[in-house]
Amino acid sequence: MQEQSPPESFLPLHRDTFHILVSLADRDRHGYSVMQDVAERTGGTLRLSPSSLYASIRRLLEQGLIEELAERPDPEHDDERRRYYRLTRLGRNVAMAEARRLERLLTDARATGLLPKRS
Amino acid sequence: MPVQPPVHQPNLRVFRALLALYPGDFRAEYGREIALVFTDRYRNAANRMERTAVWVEVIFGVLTEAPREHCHMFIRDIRYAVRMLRNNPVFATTVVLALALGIGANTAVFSILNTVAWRTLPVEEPQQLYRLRQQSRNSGALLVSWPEFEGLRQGSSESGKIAAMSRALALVHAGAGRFAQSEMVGLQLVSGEFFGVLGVSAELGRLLTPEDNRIAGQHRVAVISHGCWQRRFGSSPDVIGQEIALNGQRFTIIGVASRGFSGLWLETPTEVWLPIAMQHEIRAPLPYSSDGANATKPWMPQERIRWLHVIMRAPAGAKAATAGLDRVFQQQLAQRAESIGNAEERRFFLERRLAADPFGSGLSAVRQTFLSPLYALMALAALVLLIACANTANLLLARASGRQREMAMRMSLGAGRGTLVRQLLTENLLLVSTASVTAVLIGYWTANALVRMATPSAPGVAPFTVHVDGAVLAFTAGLAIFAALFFGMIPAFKVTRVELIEALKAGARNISGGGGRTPRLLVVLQVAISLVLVVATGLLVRSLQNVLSVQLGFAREHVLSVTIDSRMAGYTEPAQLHGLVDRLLERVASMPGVRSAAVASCGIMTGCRNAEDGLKVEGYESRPGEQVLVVNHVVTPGYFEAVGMRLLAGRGLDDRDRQSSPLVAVVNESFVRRYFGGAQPIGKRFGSKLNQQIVGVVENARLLNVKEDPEPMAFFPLKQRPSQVRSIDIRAAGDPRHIASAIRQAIAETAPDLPIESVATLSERVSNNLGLERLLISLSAVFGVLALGLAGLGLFGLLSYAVARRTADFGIRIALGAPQRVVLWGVFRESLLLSLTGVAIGLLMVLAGSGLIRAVLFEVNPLDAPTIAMAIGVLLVVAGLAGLLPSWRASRVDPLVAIRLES
Repeated sequence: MQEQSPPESFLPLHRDTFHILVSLADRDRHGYSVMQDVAERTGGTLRLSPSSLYASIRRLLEQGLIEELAERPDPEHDDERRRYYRLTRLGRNVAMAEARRLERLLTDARATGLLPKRS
Repeated sequence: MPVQPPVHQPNLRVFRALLALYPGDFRAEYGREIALVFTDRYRNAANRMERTAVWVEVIFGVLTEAPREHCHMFIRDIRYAVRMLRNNPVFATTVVLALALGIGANTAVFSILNTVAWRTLPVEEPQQLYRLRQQSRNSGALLVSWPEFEGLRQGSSESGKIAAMSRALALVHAGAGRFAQSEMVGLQLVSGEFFGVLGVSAELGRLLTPEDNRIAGQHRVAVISHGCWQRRFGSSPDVIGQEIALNGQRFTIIGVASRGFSGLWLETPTEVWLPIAMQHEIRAPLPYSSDGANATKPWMPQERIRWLHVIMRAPAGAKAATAGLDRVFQQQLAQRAESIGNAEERRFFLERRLAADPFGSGLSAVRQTFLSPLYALMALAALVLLIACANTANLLLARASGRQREMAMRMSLGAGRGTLVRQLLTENLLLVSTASVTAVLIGYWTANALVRMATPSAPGVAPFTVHVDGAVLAFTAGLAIFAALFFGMIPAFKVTRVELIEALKAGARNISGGGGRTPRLLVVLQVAISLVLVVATGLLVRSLQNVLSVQLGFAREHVLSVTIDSRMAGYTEPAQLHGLVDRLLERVASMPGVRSAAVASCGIMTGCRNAEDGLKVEGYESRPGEQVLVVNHVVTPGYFEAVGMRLLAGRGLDDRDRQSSPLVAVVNESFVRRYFGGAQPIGKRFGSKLNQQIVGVVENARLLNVKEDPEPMAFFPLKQRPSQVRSIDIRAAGDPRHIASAIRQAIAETAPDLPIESVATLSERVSNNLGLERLLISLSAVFGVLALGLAGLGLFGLLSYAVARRTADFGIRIALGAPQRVVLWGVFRESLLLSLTGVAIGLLMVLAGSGLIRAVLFEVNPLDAPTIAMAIGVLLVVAGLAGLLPSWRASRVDPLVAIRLES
């Protein structure tokens, strides 16, 4: 069994990686669903291509940040059997650590007046 | 009812073709998912433009991601391989070592070949360079006098520019600048066209031009090499205009030749170039051929002293360029032929034609002597590599069959056969690349050590260094790839071709391997090749024995030989010279421990040789065109006693032979045999004026070279023929090494200005002369031992493995009452059978390869029966030892243990 690395050792996360982790935070999804979710949340500015999506998924699986679930049909879609993915505990911790890191950056930017202070 | 928009389907065939760019594993894992997502995206696209955008996006994505995935896969394989090998350190070390030695042996020999045989001169378009040759019944490089060269130059055209140069590199003493006192540098005399013809440019200042070579003795200018400039002048830009002292004469440095050009001799760098016009002033020992000319006067204006070679640059090929030169050459010949009385001889003389030999690779004495031995060594090294590969293949096979269960397990878990083969090949690649890096280091180190060992210059100083360049690295890489693929492929395919159920069921036992056909063939191959290498070593050892026992004709014990140079010290006038020689001999002969001493114009086995051509011998009718040639030795009385040469008839040279008395000479057996047909020669005369009377005959002595039969030689008294003296030979009462330093000191005190080039015993000179033999033998002995070891190891490994695999079998047989010796003999017989088959095949290989080694043997038949018999004996002993332990182990199997293994 490999020793688990602390979440901080994964930071900073690649932009695509972070978005994939965020989209898996509320529920299990299959590839296309992740893609749609990311596009929706970013207002269409970030569109993952199928190939880069699965390269990221392969990496996340190897790092143990997500896990693969058994194939099942997606009734909302076309009922084809698809592979679903879920955040692992480590994956959730890593995503949270990244979010906190970004938050601290934001706080710093506000403190120096780079961004307007929150009213 | 709402109208359904039409559903657009993407062309999945094109998409799948695109996916083929991914590694197989990735495609198998995610191909379907990616296709699904792509189809979703495509269907949901609003219009044609968006659908096109989806295509562009996917193509771009695959093109960027696929290489990354391949890279990722490769790194993962490497990591996996490192882990596997780290778990088997003994296996990994054995394989790396065997391959490193095999590849290293080849790299060593190849890098010497690369330096010696195939290197071209570092000049522009070296393949356009030629050296002129005269074609006749005895053909050789064209030797011309300066006036003759001037004539040829007029006949040259744009299609073939020519330059003249002294044909030897002279070692001269250099001073001034940063030269330590009395340092030797290589010097060549060249015409003003030399650098232009070679296409060498100046790094600094200017190079020699025809203007620098007009009047004999008037051009005190020198060009130095880049290396000389760096080492001795610290690359100082002020070097131009500085003076350099060469043999006591001052020259002004006018330029530095471009970096990388260090002359035409591979072994010795040329550091200084002087104009031909300065020949007399530099007083360097240069070879020449004289036809009644006076060699003590400046050579440049004399038509009858030939000492120059002619090089040519002919961009459009030598043929057309030589034609114009040949016309001039024919006119010169016609002029010279007028003085030849004999009509037939004149006709023969006029038959000479000019031709040109390619000169792009320069000059190398080492290349001449080493080329055929090197090719033989290359063949031997290739055999060693074959053995190493066979050995590695067997180790891999044995390991592979031990891993069949692992492979079966992984295949059943879904790993593709391609993936497993790829991983196994990656392991091999890792082994081989580690071995190759080691091999390059081994090769580099060995090659230079070998060159130092084989070349007879000062001990420990190599005449040239072997470099590892692109060609060497490419060669090594090529060998490595050959080794990795060819011998790694067999086990890789074999191990993955497993019957899943069988292998899993077989449990701890292995189902095949070890005793299979391939490993046996590989062992037989190793034994066969080892035999070839052991035979080669044996033949070379016999050859050295023959060389060592050859009748040298002089005493190699008790003689100390000191190389000096009287001309360089300025002793050119006869009176001066005789004074020097008398003083030296008087001082040395009176020293304790010295029996006798003499002075000679050439030291024994120093490469010094003065030959005279065109002689007349009383009563001898020369055939037209025959070279009537004699090697001259000018010596003082007592020379034969000092070096231990035996007088066969007449008398030796003694104090009666003075300047005023009749001219006399002593000749050797070869002289008598060739010019008198073995008849009594005492009292007969020879020489260009038939004025030298033969007073004695000495036994043939190999003064120049151990392996060559002596040429006709004549020994003249120094008093009657004052010439440069190059050697003092001293017969010692005891070990000559004990008096060496005293002698050196005595000479230095008697003649402080006389340079002492070397002090060595004659047995050291002889042993230096055999450097090449020693190199060949040591190398082939190393190869032979390596091969024997590897073959023994191979046989041992194979049998051990087979025995381990059949433990249960032996156990049952012993339990059923089979006597131990029957079991022992059963296994041992197998090893014997394999060895004998190998020996039989090896004998055929020896037969086939005998031609290759013949060239390097000295009076040994390449199919020498005792040598071959001995080699077979050695091989069978090694094979027997390798087979004994596994056989013994098989006979000692404990039935209980064996049966427990089975259940």
